[in-house]
Amino acid sequence: MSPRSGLPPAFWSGLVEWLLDPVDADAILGDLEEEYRGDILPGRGPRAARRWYRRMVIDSIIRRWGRARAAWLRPLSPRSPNPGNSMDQLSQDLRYGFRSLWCRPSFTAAVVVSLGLAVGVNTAMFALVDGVLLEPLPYAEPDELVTLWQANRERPNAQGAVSLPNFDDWRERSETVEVMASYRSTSLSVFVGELPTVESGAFVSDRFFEVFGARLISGRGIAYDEARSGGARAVVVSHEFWESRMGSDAGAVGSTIEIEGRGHTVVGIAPEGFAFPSRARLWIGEVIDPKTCGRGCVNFSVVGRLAPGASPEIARGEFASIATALETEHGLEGYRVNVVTLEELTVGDVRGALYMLLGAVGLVLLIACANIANLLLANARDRADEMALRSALGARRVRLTRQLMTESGILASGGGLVGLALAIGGIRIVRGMPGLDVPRLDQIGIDATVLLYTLAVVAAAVVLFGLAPALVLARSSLVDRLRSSARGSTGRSTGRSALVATQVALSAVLILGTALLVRTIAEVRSVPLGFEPEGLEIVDFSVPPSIAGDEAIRLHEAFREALAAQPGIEAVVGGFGAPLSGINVFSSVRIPGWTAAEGPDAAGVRTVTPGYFETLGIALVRGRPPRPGDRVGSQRVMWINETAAERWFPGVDPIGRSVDLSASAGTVSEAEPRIVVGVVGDTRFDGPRRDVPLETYIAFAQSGVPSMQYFVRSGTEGGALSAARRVLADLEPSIPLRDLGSMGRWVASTEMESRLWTLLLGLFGLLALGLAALGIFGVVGYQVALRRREIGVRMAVGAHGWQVASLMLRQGLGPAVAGVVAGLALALLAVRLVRGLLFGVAASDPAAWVGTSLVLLVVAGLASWIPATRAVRVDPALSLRAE
Amino acid sequence: MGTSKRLGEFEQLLLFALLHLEGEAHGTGIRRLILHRTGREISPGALYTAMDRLEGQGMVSSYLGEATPPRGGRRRRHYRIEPEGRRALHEAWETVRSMAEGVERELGPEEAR
Repeated sequence: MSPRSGLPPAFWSGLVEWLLDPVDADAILGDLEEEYRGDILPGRGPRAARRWYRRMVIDSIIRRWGRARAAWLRPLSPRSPNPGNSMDQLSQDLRYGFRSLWCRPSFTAAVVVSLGLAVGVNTAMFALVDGVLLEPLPYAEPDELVTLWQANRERPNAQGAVSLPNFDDWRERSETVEVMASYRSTSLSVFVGELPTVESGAFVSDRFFEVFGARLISGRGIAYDEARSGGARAVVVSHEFWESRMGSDAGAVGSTIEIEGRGHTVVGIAPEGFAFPSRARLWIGEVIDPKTCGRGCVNFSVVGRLAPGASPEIARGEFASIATALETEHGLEGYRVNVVTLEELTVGDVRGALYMLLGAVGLVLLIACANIANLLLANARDRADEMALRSALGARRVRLTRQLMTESGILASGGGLVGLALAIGGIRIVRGMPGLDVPRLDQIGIDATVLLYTLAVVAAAVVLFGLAPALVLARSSLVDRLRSSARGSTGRSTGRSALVATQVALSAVLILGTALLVRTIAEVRSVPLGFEPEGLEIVDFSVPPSIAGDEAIRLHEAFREALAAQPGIEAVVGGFGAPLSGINVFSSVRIPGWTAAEGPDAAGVRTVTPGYFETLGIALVRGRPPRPGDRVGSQRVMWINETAAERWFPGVDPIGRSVDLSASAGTVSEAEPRIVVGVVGDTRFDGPRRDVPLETYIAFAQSGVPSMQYFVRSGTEGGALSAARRVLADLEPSIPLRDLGSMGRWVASTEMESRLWTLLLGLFGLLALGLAALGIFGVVGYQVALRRREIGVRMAVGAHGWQVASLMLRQGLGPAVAGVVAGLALALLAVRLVRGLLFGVAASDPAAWVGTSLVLLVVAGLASWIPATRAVRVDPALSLRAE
Repeated sequence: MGTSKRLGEFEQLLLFALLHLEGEAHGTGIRRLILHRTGREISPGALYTAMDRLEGQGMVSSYLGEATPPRGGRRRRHYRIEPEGRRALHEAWETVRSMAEGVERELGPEEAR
């Protein structure tokens, strides 16, 4: 037990002692400690007790301050502080500063809120960038980890799956990549104890854990033999799986669990937190028969660790020559190898977006600083009299400057605290967003690095916004000030106008970025997907290898028929490969008669059951739909999409032609070519931003694929899932059913991220616009107040209201127009940052540029109009008499 | 102004507590009693702020007690109700009672009526 146990949290006690006067603090802390130790800690436990203590302290401070406010605002007591004691001076400065800010609540609130918003968005964005991009991956020496992909001459940066013979060759030949392993994400049905479940897992090769430097808690990784056909079936379980599903059983290693209907021996337990790839909980050997699966049969991804001294660049050079060698040795036309660091693979997609947003919040900070500088400038002028008076009474200039600095410090601290609170809340919201696939999102939070960054942001802000008033003060002689304030000032404020123009310019950049992204969303929405996702729910299951061949097909057919007969179910079709879910099989395609130079092509392969195209809303352009008679023994049939038809059979009727899928992956074993019996409309199964892929569809009963997704249309929400569970449990209780959710949700989630970036940028843009509007409003309002006398004179000698109003309007619109022009010029440089996120919209999109200018000018007009009309209401007699 | 001052509900609770706790009326004791009788948890800051106000109106008086180890060596603040406080509390109570007369049954739970 720590010596402090039983005592209330020191921080909160210290806060009371610091903020309240000693007699008060004594009584309150005494009471709290007595109760904390006597009643609360024994009664409610340490967590609740600490919470209670915090609540009591905060409430007490607020109450005491509420009471003290009146006293606090009274003039300082005449007991003069010891002039030699700087602590006394500081405390006097602080008290005076608090008091003077308290007396100007709207000014204080405006500064603290502006700064708080800017610091908040900056802190939150930095935490996001820090957590997602800057934190190293959670593996030993993560910089040494690379992934290797098959690519080709046309697309050297492709991330294509790798075939087993190529993988073996790479392993044998590479010296720069020391250790290499293959992996492939999958879902596995698992039987431990009573219930069958579906777990995310991966097929891996030997040395997989070695690559990551992951020390197994117990046992070993998958061995070489266990990842080859004929080897023993072995599994490595995650620490989490071992804890939750195996009850942390000490004898787990060596025991047997049932995966996909077959017993697997547990050979190892992975270290805590290890879950590569994609939250895997189980790793089993990838078993591929090299006899049936050649170089065209691409299956898995490859990850490796660089040898000491090797860089990704050196590895790229080496693999370029390995690829050339393999190209000639095995006749692999245009064969390339692509080396991508694991870091890049993990965060590459979001890096651009995050840096863009970090830039955006930087602009927000600048705009907020301009605003605060503006407020401080006005404030400095308002207080010139006070300063002059104090200086005349003998205050030294140093003392006055220090007083102003103390006030800035108080404002900055307030803004920093507000910002931190906003950031914590904002991060919570982003982390809680459903369906967001940002890597390592769960790891972001406020830590020491982020706090330091916040501190730096606040410090930079203080320098930025503190500069302006300091310059003004340095320039103006205080005696002059005293003299001139006796007359009404008519001074113009070029400094403030320049600040407003800057704000508008920076806002223009953000608004333009938002406009381009919003246009992108509209463009993406207008892309035809080629299928109708609404109202379809997807479930799937895999038939274990123990149920073979015809029996598996019969089980799927029985399931489909039984489910279709359930009340409330309108349509059920099956097919392997759910749109947008990433469940895809690709195959190498050859068209008989092609020369080696023309092929092979990579095309998607999907299995279909009768009614598939109709239910998914895919157009049948030519030929016939799938029929129940398409089964083993009858003519081997296939359908292709329009893009494939055009590429493979340009200018001729594809119906009746044959296509060779014989080089396919192990799951689609094709002995002979198929005959095209239909052409269907193009679909974008991988999302609206992807190009239309080449697609082939084969009859399920002729495919031998053991698993299938079912697309179910039912009258009620979620009705399909419960009905499917019931039906499968009746047919084969040992097979788990997997819920893939509604197809509409898949469609929505593909654009989720891009929508989040747009939303965030839009939010920052609005914030910027609001701050800029406030700035304009302030400048014009200030001018109106300053030139009251002049306006009065003008009105008295017969000026019309609209003349006066337009005079004032010009005060706001002038800098706004200058700002828009400067902003658009600035945006020419900045659009580079969003270019990667755009789709279907050029960065030079005229609608976005014109729209941005209009929005800014309208907002600037409104922000000037409101105070300008106030000028018209000036009563000449009153304003003249006031002087 | 003390005589015409009306008591707020919270102030009434505090004065009632002082009557209950004759002699043992310090911050902790008062807050414990209010918690047990009403289920209301109030912070020391809220209590002392209200007590300051009552003291300023001459309804209560206070003195510092001894320092004790359970309080981390801090001194206790004790309160006593003054005649002015008793009078004001009595008046407040009478006001409520006279307004409640004849309608007490209406205050019961819905189904009791």
